[in-house]
Amino acid sequence: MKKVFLKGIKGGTGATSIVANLACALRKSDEDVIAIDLDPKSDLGLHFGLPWEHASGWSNYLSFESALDEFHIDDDGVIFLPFGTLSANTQRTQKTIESAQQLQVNDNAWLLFDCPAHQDIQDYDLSSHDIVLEVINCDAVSHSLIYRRLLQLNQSAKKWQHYFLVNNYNSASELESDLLQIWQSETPLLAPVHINKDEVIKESTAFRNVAVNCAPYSVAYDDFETLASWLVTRATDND
Amino acid sequence: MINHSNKTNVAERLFSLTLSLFFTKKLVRFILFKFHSYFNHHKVSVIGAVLMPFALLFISLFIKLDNNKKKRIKTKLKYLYPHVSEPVSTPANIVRVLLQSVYLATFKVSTKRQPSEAVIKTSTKLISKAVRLVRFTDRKLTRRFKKIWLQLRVGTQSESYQRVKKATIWNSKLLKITLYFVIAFTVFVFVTVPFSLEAQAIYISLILIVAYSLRRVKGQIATITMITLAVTTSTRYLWWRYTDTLNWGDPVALALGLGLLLAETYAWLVLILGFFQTINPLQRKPIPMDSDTSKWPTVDIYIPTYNEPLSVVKPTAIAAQSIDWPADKLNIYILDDGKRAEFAQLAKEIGVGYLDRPDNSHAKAGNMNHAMKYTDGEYIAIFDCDHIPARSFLQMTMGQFMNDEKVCLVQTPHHFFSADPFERNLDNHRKIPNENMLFYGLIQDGNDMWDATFFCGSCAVLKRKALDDIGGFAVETVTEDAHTALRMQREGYKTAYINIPQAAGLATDSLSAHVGQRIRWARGMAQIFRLDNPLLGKGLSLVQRLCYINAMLHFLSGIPRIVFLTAPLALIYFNAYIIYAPFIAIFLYIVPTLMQVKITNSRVQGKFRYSFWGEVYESVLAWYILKPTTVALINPNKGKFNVTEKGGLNDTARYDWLISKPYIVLLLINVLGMCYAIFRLIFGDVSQIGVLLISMLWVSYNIIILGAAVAVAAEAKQVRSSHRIKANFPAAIRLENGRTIKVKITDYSDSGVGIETISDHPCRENDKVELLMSRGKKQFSFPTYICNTRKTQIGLTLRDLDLAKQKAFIQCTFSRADAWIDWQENFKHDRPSYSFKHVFITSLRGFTNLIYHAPSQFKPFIILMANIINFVVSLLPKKPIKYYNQYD
Amino acid sequence: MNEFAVKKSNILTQYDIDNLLNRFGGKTSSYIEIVDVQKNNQIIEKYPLLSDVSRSCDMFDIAINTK
Repeated sequence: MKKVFLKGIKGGTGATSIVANLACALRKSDEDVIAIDLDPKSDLGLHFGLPWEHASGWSNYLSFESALDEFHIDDDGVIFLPFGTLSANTQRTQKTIESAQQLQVNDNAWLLFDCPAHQDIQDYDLSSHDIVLEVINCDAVSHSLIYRRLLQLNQSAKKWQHYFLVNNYNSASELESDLLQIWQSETPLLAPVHINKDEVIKESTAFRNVAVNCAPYSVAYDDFETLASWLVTRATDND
Repeated sequence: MINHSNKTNVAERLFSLTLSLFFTKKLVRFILFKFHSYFNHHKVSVIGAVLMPFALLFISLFIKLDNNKKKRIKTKLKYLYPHVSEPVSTPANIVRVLLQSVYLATFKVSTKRQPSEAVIKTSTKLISKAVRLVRFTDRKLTRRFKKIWLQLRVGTQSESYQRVKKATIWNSKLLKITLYFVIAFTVFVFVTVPFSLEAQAIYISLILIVAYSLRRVKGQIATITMITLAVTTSTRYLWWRYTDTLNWGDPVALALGLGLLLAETYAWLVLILGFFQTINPLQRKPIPMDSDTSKWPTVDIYIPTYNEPLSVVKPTAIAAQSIDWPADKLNIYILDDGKRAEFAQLAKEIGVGYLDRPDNSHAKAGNMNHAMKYTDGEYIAIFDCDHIPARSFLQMTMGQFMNDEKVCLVQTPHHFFSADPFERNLDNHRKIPNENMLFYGLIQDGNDMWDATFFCGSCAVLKRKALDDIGGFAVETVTEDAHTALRMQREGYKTAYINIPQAAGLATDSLSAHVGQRIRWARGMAQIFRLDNPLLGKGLSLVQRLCYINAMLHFLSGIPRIVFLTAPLALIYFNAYIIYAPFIAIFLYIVPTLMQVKITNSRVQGKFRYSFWGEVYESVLAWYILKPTTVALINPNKGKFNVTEKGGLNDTARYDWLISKPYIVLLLINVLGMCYAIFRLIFGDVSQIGVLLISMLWVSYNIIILGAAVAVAAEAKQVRSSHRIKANFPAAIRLENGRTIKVKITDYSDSGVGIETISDHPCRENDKVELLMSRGKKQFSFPTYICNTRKTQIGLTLRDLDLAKQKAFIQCTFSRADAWIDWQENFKHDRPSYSFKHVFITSLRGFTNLIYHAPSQFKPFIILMANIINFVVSLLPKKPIKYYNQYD
Repeated sequence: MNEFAVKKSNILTQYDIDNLLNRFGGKTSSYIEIVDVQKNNQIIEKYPLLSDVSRSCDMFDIAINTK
């Protein structure tokens, strides 16, 4: 079982839409995918077409075992678990992560976690096979946060594989292309893939779908496919 | 008038009176009526009109002629004699009727239309059967030979063979020398032993069969076997020519024959040296650089320019800047011999060095020598100002220097993204390997094997230390490049060639410029031959000397080529037996030897030069390089450096009469010779028919080659000033509404891009879109406008790019590492018959061009000739028109 | 190069990934892409925030293990 944690370095970086599109892209390669929403916003379901009235999720149940009914499957075959309406502290989240690993699925299945930006990754108990993708945008705040994170990672012994993933990149903007150039050449742990700015990503959510399904000839489709294939190699390197 | 009509009336009345003595009244009326109708309506002469009714009456005695039947006969005649025009009784029509009647009588022709499918079916069946038979035997033969070949090869794996192979006796020097001696002796015997004609026939056909069957067998050994066979037969042929075929009795024939023999000797020498040069091309691979870039050496890039426009130099300078090499170890200099202020301005603007000098002595070589005084890089890369380097250029080449410190030069091929005059005027760009490809695809790789790579003046890196050792670039000749390399090799340095196109430029854009460039090379080579003869002097190995000699011989091809183009005329015009041998002997020696050589050459060079095209290229240049090489051989210091002009534009299609004059003259004497030969064939001595036929065959081959050469001189119209380069790599566009579409770049120029989308697109003209292109990991966005759209095709124009964007655009297009990689993969292996067909078609086009572009004072003459030909053709019998017979 | 249009979405091989990652550039295994140090420094100097971060990171002397 391969675990990938996606988390915005700050709020609003677009991590949730990446989880949804990534899940779909992996599904297209016939991989088993389970997406679990750890974010109290509980908006992952919207990308998979979950009805708006359906608000409950795992946080509404006492134990993970009792929340099994909350697993949904979308048209592409992605299995996902919404967060729900209550709140959950770090311990509760950690417990959910552990329980999710006990699920009876095949060894090659992917577990994608949509983590809230405000929680610290270090509080989860991660192993060396786990991949953390910290989603960033090409702006100055992200730049400062990246270096803060790098300092923090440097001081503590990190066990997991940490990467920064650029989302919503617009090469026409001078600042964004400058920043990306600097990061690509100087910043360690930058993922070799970035997601380009594409209206389709936003639009497809409005259509209760993901860009990978809506626009097969778009750059977004390519980007998510590249991201998925990169993750596949990362995971096989682990084995 | 009245008088006249009275007279005719009287005559008529007399006539009817006489008639009424023999015929009934009804018949008399009929005859008179017919006479009037023939005379007045059908414009038949008086006598004819008088005789015709009687003929009609006579026929009607045997055949019942009613109106219906008459009509049928009339139409039938029309079908049988389709080209007989009205009025019928002209001299031309009489000839037509006679010829057609003979034709109809001798051949079984029916006017009935057979169901056309059946005809086609039977004929195609026959043809396909024949083709299948030929193919079958061919395949069987080839397969059998392959099998034998493989068995022989497998047999060598056996144990006893291994034991013999490993025996120490092979190391003995004496044995080696004996073996060589034995081989040499055998070859000598095969070459010199005189055969009877029958023996020669058997010998040559055996060799031909082997060569023919081996031509598809893969592998080096098969190639070497074919080369050995070709060398043996051609040497045998030459031996026969020297010993057996000179006409000592006739001084004119002897002189002409000796001339031809010398030309043939030249061709033989070039053939043997060529085989030797290309027997084992090295195909050197790039050596990777150390991953620690601090250990990399410093490199200066020189971009010498003299009179080229700024727009040509700018992309080169920008692309040179974006070569992947540590910025502090890479210095770029524009070496401007034109001393132009705007170039200094450009250099400052984009941040490269600018060097000019007070005088212009020694042209390009002097320019670079001057620059060497002001720069200090350990290595010097040189790009002609129109050769845009790929960003990987230095990393592909520099490894050779790091690997071996004796290496002083690494050359890469010159690749041209625009069509050269041959390709453009013959319309075969990217369809047939161009003139350059043989040299850069095969010969340089072959030279590299023998450590004799040439320096070609551009797209190369040199070691400064080696240049210092020989006192800088050689300035004595007009081809400073080849001479410089020669000198460095004399000093014991090695040269290397990497056959990966790492730069591309504009080809010369007119035939005259192209010819001018070749003249310079030819003159330079001849100069080197005189001033610094590679056969003499110290420092070179024997093989290096041979490679240089072959290169120089190549430029001396002028005289021999002209000899070959005129040789058969000696017999036709002067009755001089230049090959003094019986017809059958000539046939048995020449034809198979030529075939053998062609098959072997096609195998060795097939991917880089198609059969018969070499002759076309050579014929175009022959006349022009003849004089400069001869002059330079006599007085090497005469003549000056001329710059090759590039980047121009032919705004109208035109015919270059000036440059094609020599071939038109050659063509004329060949065509006249052909006519004279036909005349002699019909009215001349019967004993000469054989030799005449062989001469005519040769003349027609020459006419075909010359026709193709003439075709080149028709300068095609050039439409675009900035060349569109075909491409195939992915990119993307972002529309104004923020959506993105993946696209494929199909072509680009310095001001626009052509793209293709996968499905239909919503774009319209004048929309503004962002073009996203990447270079390695970096992505760039370019503001563009849509200038035209078709289904899935979109044309984009780039407008007002700032300098940074211009740089980025060149990095994403012209200087991509793989931009020119696939140039050699486009071509299939040569097939001589197809190639001949293509040359033939080109040749026909040459003749049409000649007529089409003829100057106006010749127009009446051409029209007259055309009319005569048309008339003669109209006399010839024709196939009757087929029709469905409704009455059957 | 056309493969993006017809590509079947099965698990990608290493070759595919190299292809995708280097979509727009020619890649040889031994090829070293030179980072333009001067240009990077220019960019960092252009933005005060970046130079600030860069200076403090130099002070901390980050030796980040990139694995």
